[in-house]
Amino acid sequence: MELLSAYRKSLRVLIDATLLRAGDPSGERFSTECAIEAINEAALEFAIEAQCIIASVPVRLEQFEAIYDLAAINAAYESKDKDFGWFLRAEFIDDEGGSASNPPGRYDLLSAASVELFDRCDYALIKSDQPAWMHKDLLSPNKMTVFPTPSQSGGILPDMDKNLLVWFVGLPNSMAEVGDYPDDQIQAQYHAAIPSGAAARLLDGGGEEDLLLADALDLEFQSAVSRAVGEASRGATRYDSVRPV
Amino acid sequence: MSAYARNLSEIVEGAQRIVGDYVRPQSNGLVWAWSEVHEAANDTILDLVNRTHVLKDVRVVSLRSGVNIYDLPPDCLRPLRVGMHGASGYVVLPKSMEEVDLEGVSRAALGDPLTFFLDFLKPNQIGVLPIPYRDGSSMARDSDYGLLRRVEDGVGDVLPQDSSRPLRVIRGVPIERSGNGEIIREVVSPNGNLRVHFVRTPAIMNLPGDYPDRDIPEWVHPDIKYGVAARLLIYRRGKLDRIKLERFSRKWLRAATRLQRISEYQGLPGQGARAM
Repeated sequence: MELLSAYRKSLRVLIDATLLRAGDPSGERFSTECAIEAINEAALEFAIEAQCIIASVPVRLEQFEAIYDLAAINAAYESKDKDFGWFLRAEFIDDEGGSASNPPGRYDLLSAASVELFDRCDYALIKSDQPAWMHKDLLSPNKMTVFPTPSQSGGILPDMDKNLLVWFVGLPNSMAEVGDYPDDQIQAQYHAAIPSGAAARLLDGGGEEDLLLADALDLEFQSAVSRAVGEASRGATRYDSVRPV
Repeated sequence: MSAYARNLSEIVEGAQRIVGDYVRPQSNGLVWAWSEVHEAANDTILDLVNRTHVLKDVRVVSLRSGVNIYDLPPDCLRPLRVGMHGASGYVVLPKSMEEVDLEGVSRAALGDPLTFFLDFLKPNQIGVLPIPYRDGSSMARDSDYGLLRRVEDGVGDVLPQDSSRPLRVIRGVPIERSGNGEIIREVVSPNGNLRVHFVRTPAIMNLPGDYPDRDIPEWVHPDIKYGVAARLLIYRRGKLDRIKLERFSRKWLRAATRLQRISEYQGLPGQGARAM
């Protein structure tokens, strides 16, 4: 029995495969540095399209603060796992108190879909110690509003009481050393497709024949992306609506 | 910054490489000057924002009695949502002048604004109807982020408050008590001002080390070079340039469409029922 991990491709292997597909096996035309940049960009495109990298970050709720810049919060988080891509889901965590009808635990923030549902301009004035809704429709992509506005601050992290846990699509860890591997959450069966996307990027600056080859390589890369999207959709229709065509 | 963030210099050089006009770092190419590629980079990002509406902001426009045409904020690309700013605020709905005409309502009527219109005005203006019959609050100290403030009177004394009432009116401006008795949060005037949510213009990149506007996701940065290259190649007539233009335009459109779909994602209303 062969483990899937045996099919992983190191950066060294990816560089060689990329240069080979770009018609430059000896690396006379494209530098290793350019190849690595193209490989990382192809891995990024793959991960964004397939939405295969999921991470979370604790968000401390601040008294009377309704808007949270998730990218900035994630960037400042000491135990950051992944760079922030975009928001998926938020949970309010209540570790104490509660009653039989309202037991302590985790509550998903429902999406308001549109702030118009609140029918008020200054919805931020409504406050509660437990936000129940979130929306993003009047904000830039990295930000989120919670509703009602927190009437008190949550615990000081890592205490999660009265704070949020936000799930997001993350960006892949980039590769720099030849012994590095693509991000753990990019499954090994798709590693072999990354050089096609990378070589297509390298060939963007070439001549007519290079561009023909780049188109073919792009097609191969997009085919792998489509397969990955299909795989990711099996049991996670939750974010299908955001999936790029 | 993540490993995928690209500054102006990297975007320009990326574009120079793929259009085949790269000579050396931070230098003119043989066909396009650095300044031309620089300008194309800023224009590309402006076009991206105009197309996808990803950058948003909110500002309060002070209303004046008898005046119903106002300038929009200077960084406004397009208004998104308008409302009366107040504890009893409400949504001000869009209406075309054609609708106003068909309804036959008086355009001279005075009252609290209920609708806004944009037609027959300059691009940077907004009109409201009915015409405001009173001034909005003259205190423009509101914050997008609900910052707490200590409100003092002219001689530096903290303004008094009544803890039995959540709202008090001081010189016509209601405030809300919070904290230990010294911190007061301005709410808004009941007379109201206009609160405008809008698509805003991106911060411009001037120096080689400048990054695109901080609210543009970093995962978009590597693709910006395609948009820049397409803007440059549109003036070229060679066969190779046309092929490149078609390829880069396609890639840029794909990237922009992806950003738009993602930025419009709101989370699903039923997501709470589904386990992670």
